[in-house]
Parts: sequence; structure tokens; C-alpha cells
Amino acid sequence: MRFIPLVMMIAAAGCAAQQGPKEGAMDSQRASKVAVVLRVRLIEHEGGNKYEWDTVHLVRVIKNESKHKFPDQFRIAHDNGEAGVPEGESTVYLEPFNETDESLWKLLGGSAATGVSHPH
Amino acid sequence: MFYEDVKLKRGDTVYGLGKEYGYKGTEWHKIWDDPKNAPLVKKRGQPEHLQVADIVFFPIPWKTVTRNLCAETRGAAFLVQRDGEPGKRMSWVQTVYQDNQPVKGTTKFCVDGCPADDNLPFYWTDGEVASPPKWIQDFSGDKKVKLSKTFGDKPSRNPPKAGQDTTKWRAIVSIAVVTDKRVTVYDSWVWGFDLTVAGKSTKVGPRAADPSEVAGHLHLLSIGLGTSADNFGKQGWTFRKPPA
Repeated sequence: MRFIPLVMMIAAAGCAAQQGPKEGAMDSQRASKVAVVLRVRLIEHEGGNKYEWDTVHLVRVIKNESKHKFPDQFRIAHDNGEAGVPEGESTVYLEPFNETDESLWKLLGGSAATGVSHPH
Repeated sequence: MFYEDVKLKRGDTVYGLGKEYGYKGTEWHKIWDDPKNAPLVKKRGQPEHLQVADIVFFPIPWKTVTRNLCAETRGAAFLVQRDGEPGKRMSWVQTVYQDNQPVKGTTKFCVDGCPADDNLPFYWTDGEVASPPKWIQDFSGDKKVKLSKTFGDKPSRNPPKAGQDTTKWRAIVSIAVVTDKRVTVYDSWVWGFDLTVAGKSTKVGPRAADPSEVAGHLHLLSIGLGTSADNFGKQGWTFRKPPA
């Protein structure tokens, strides 16, 4: 009777570890500054002109107070000369790229320094 | 040097406008005493007596003094600075040819930033001018960088895929003098980079744009898109070379 809950706890912990951190994968202070917080996995750095673009795979929506529904794959801008979305999985804090196109988003502050946390 | 002709509106002063066109406040007399303004000076006597709809000619002597272009791993980095003081009516415009690697959602030719980050034809957004991003502070080596005096860009691409030609990314950047929706464009520089399939980047330029390139640059600015459906020309913006 005591053994079964323990096994379940171990199994649950293992499962959580495989999926990556959840609640712990967000910086609440940064999250309060933006409408969108996502867990993403980098597919490719594309480059760009004034801004550089990173193509990412959407892993999980942590917070989305925008009207935009993020597809499985989309692009995130950052200022050129700044670090963008890192390799692997990370949490991104997004601000609108401009005032009209709801499909275009940019890292908070234009940089991974402010717009990315919890790389994994 | 050329003259920017400005029809005065209520509240305009030679002192205030001079600061917006890149002069120090103490230099208002350089404008007032310019021979081009002699008929107006004779008519009004004192700057305080100017009236709405008077036309003042502002000498624009500013020129680029720094043009540093470096090849980067996947592109190039270009820093341009002009002399003179900062000024709200002094800006930069850049048109870009993206060759075989246009940013998704944009065309080969575009007005930077492309895709558009605002609905103005200028390189820097108003927000960036008010608070320069860290990257341009770092790039210029000046924490107090003034973007009306400084242009910087670091375009990059992935190497073209096998079977594609070398990516030949090119841009023309110019100083822009802004009076209402009229933009006078001058001191234009062609720059860019070639990026081979093997990933080798070579800088191209900078060199002064020739007259045909400037004409193309002006045309692109006019047909360029901001964040609205209408191009800049349809929005009422005009782009010109300095008047003779």
C-alpha cells in the first residue's frame, strides 16, 4: 500500500523531467512586461537586415494575452548584433514587432539577454 | 552643401528650426546671415519679426565623416556617422536589395527595416531615436549615441543552399533631411556583402552611389512599404535629391 504511491511519485517526476520544466521555466518579472510567453525550440537562425529572424518550433504556450494563435512553427525577431533564440529549448518573452502585423513578434528588448530564459 | 527651404508655421523660429536641422542653438546666425536669406533679412529686419509662410533657407553642410564596413561571419557590419549636431529633422534612409535571400514576407527590394517596424520611411523608429538600442550603443562604442547622427546595420544570412548562386546583398544608405513629408536624400553610399555557398563573406563597398543608383534609391523609397497597405508615395511622402 505504501509502495505504490512512491512508485507513482517517481514516475511522475521522471515524466516531468522528460518534458522539461513547466512552472519553473518562466521568469515572472519578465513575463509581467509582455503579452506572450512561450516555450520554443530553435529550428534555424535565418539572419535578416535590420533585425535577424529565428525560426522556432512551439513547444508550449505559457502565457498568451494576444489575439494571435501561434502555429507550430513561426519566426521571432531580435535586433541585429544581439543574441537571438539559443539552440535547444528555451522560454521566450515576446513583444509585438510592429503595431499592425499580429503574426510578427520580437524578443523582449530585442535581445536574448532580456527576452530569453531557462535554456535547456 | 545645399539649402533646405522651409515655409514657416506658427511658432517656428530660426533658432528652434536650426536645432532641428543639426545646428547648435548658438549658431542661428549662420542661417540668418547666409546670403541666401538676404532678401528675407532685408524684408523682416530681425528673426523675431518673421511671419507665418515666410521661407527661410537652411544651409545643410553636414556630411558623413565615418564609414566603417567590416565583413562578418555571415554578412557585414556598417557604421556611418555624420558631422553636425543631432536634430529631429535629420535622419537616415536605407533601401536594400536582398538578392536570392529575401527575408520571408518581404520582396527582393525593400525599404529598411524590412519587414517594416513602423509606418515611416526612416531607418530608425522614433522609439529607437528616443532610446537607442543597446546593440547600436555597443556597435558605435558610444553609450550616448545619437541616432540622428549615426547609422548602423549588421545584416546576415545563412550561406545559400547548394545549387544557389552567391548571395549578393546590397544596400544604399543616405542622410535624410525631413521637412514635413518631403525627404531630401543625399550623401548616398552603396555597401553590402557577397556570401558564397561555402559560407565565405566578402564585403562590398562602401562607395558613393552613382546618379542612376540614387534615382533607383529614390524610386524604391517612394514605392516602399511601411506597416500600412499604401506605399510611402501614396501616403504623401516625397523623396528628392538636394535642389541645385
